[in-house]
Amino acid sequence: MATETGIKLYVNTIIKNKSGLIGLIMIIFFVALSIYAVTSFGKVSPQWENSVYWETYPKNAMPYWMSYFNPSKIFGTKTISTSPLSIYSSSSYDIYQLNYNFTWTKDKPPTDVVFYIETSSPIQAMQILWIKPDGTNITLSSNSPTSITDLISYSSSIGNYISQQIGYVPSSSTSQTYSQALFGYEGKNLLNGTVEKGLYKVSITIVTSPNTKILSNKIYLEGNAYGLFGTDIYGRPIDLGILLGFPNALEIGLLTSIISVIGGVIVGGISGFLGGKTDSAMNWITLVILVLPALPFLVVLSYIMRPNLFLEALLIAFLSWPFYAIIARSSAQSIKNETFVEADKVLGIPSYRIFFTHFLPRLTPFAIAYTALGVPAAIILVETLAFLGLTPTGLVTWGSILNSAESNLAAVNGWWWWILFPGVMIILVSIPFVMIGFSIEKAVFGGK
Amino acid sequence: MLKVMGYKSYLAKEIIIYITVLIAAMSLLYLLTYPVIQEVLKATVQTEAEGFKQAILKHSAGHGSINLTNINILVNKYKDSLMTAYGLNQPLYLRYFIQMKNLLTFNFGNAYFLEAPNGSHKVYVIIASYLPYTIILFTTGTLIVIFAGTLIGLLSARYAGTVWDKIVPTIAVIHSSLPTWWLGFLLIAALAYGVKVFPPGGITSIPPPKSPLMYSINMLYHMALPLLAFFIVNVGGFAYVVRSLVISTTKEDFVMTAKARGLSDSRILYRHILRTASPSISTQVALAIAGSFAGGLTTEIVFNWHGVGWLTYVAILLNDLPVILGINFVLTVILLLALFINELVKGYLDPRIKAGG
Repeated sequence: MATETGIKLYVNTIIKNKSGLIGLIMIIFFVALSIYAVTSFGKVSPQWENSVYWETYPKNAMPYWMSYFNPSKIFGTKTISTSPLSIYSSSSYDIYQLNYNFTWTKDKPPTDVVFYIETSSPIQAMQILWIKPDGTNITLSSNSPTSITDLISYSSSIGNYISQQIGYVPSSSTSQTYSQALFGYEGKNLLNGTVEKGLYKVSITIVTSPNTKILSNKIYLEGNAYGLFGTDIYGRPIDLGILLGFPNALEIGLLTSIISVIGGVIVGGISGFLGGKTDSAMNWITLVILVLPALPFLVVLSYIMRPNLFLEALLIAFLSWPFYAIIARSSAQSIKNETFVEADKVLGIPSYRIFFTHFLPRLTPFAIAYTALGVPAAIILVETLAFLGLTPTGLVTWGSILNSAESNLAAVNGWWWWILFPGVMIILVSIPFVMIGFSIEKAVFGGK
Repeated sequence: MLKVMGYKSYLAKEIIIYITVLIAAMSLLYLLTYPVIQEVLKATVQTEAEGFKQAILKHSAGHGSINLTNINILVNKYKDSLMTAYGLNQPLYLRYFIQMKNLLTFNFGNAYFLEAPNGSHKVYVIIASYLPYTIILFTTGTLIVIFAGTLIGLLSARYAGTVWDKIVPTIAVIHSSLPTWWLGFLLIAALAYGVKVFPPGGITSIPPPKSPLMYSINMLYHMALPLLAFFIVNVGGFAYVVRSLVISTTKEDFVMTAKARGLSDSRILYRHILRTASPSISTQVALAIAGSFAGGLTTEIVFNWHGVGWLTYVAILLNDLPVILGINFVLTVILLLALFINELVKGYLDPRIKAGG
């Protein structure tokens, strides 16, 4: 039994225990990551659902480190830029030319090619001349040029080219097919998967209104590998999503756990301390909340209320406090039977003072252990709700990343990185809290 | 202070408490969900009445004389009948009492949108046709978990201080940090689509096999993945509970006495400790089974297992209030029954509880 109280004791208890220490270090690391996420990427989070924002990222790319196993087939995105040449200028329009050269050495074509030209006023016309290493070429033109275009924007040009070469256009043409057409050998075998290696020349001609400046330009040869954890179907990097999920997971986990444990300890403590009619009444209330089927009930409420982060924490706390109340009540009952409490009563010390001097200090270790254990439970509940599509508005959560993985058939398509890493994060963030909770429980209650 | 009460009056008191708890829990659900769902229903009535009006106008367009007043009367009548069907034209307190009376008599009314596989709109028929699948899946899962968990917990308690003892806290950490639905999702990706060993979801193949034997084999095959996910997540938690119970029982005097009598360790463990700890273990079992029905919601959704969890989710998406209330009522009753039976057994076994006060 703990005889001294205060934060120092708990810190000591945690640090003395090996798993408690590891847990504490992990939590500090997670908090640092959360701060980093909020300060560096806070502005990205509102853009998460905006698919245009992610256009230049490779889609469904696997983690970049996979390329070390098979560098000729798995590779990252290559970007090239050039200095624009003004080839004609008049009072009615300007013409610029952008010439790019690059060498392709991989066994597979890029997954997509994105042309990015940022100008000070809208582009009026645009044409791309694509010259392969063997000198054959193809001209791409788009009816509605924008600052960002990918191969899908030129589907009619490339489609015509494909049908000229092989006589028909594959029914399910994706950007992958178009990219193969730009990198394959001309002729019947255009789409059979072989890639021309060597120097490619790309020349883009754009027509703009007069006095337009080209602010920046790039060609993205999209790879099939990106970042630490890959990207999803919209090109959103999973590692960034995971980083953005840290602050809200920790916040809601801690908030929910603290509210429900405090509520439970107060109700259970008072109930066990006072006994009699108050105890029966409080027990009854506890039972009412306890028997509600928590998950269906929570899904109903979140679906109806569409809560923000704080309200969602309150809702989960509202359904979880009875568990802590029951345990607090039985601890309070056993404290009540101790001789020093009897002695105080005989001495005529008022019961509220007995409550504060004897009960609260003895319930505190219990409360701290269960707060730690309650965090993962709360995080899992929140991510579960998010997985069902019930995310607090404007947040990127691991559950919502997994939700979009499920609705975009990640399992069917074998995009394992989209499923694996967000879930691993839920486990990783839970483990230190469980370890700390167990170590306090062990130290305070003397369990083996 | 001991006031001896007969077992019968103890029973009566408990029954009253549990019934009031049930009513209070349902009232809470009703009051929290009703205002919003009522709005949804009013909107539904409005659109349906509008559609009805358009249909009449279209129908009577070819007949020359159109009497707008008559049409409006007809539309209003239709609207009224819809309002009555959804129970929207009665005062709130009356609707509340009717709803509570209906719930307690298991008369959940008709679903607004959902229907049972046999075409019935009665909520209890709908629930009754989905509930068995939940019970089959999660009772099987819980029984496997209990069997394996008890075994692991006992071994760990017996070989305290060895590797066995380290395993249980480790898998208990998994239990507290791994979401079942995510594990299910991962297993589907790996074992259903990656290596095509198991089906990705559903209760049986489509179309289901004809013969009962093949049907059950097919169903077991479909149960394998959800059961695996359920087992991995839950076995550690149960083993941890068993281990704690056994260790705390080991400290009791009668175990010391048995040791002093020179009985073998395994005899003490199985004959004395397990027997003493078994009421507590069975409490855990009852609560685990009852709780798993409500907790399996996401597992059922991930594995496309059409049980009550899946039904709840669909009902919520469709705002089908009678079905939502009905399912929550049934799940609450199941949990209350488990608690109640547990309370009765405890009251029967423990003479101290027979005395109130």
